[in-house]
Amino acid sequence: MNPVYYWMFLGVSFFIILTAIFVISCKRPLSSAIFLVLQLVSVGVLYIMLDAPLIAALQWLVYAGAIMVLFVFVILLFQLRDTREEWIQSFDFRITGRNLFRIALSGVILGFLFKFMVVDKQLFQATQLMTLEPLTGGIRAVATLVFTKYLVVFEILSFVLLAALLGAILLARRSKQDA
Amino acid sequence: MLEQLAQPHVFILYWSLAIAFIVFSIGVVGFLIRKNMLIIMMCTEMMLNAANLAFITFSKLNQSLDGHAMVLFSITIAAAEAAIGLGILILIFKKSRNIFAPEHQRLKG
Repeated sequence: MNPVYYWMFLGVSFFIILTAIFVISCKRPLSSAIFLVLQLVSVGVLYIMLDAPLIAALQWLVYAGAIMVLFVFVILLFQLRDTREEWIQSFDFRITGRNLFRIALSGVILGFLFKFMVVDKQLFQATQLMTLEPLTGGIRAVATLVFTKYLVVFEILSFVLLAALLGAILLARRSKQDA
Repeated sequence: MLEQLAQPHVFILYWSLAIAFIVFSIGVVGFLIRKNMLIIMMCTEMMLNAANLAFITFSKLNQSLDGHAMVLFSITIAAAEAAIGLGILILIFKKSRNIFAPEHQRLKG
């Protein structure tokens, strides 16, 4: 086994968690956005290590490129000055009904998720030192799957994108009438 | 480049699932505590991304490419969601000059 792989995995995962924490705890939205870009890029590194180079490329291009640039544009458009007050309000953990409700809600969500992620212990002990065959997640294999088995889903997704386009046009037009 | 990487043991895939879970939890916590709507939207992106990581991990664990196709679709949905969400956010900002969630508890125009 190549120990470099494991050290790289450890470092990347540590970086992912660290930047994720920074995203939710930064005072200014712009620094949150930059940490989110770093987080998405390092998740892309993890995708490459898990034999998914096509998805990693899409992650870097679409997520870290397009979507996050959209976010940064919107942040620059807003020009928020008083973010400090919001930041102080967000980390106000006094015991109020609202905070208790938040803790309960996140506990329920994460508890359900954790319950479904429980791993079969015997299977894990039997397989944990096995290695798997390399997976060819290249563009040819994934595209073959998308255009045969998931063709209907693919076509429906084109309608989803059309709906998003029409919705964006509608939002923009209505704002013009207001002004 | 990919051939030079060693194939991992199975336990590291469970580790990667744990990372997906931790990132999703951070996203949920951020979604619930932050009041700035932009950061709330960033948290939804982070949660979607954690789900994608779980898809890729299971895809590797089961030696099948179905997870990759699902992630492709999920990235499409995320892009559409970000475009619409940011559009709505801009409208809200135009109307009331701030984007703090507690001041928009009523959904009446």
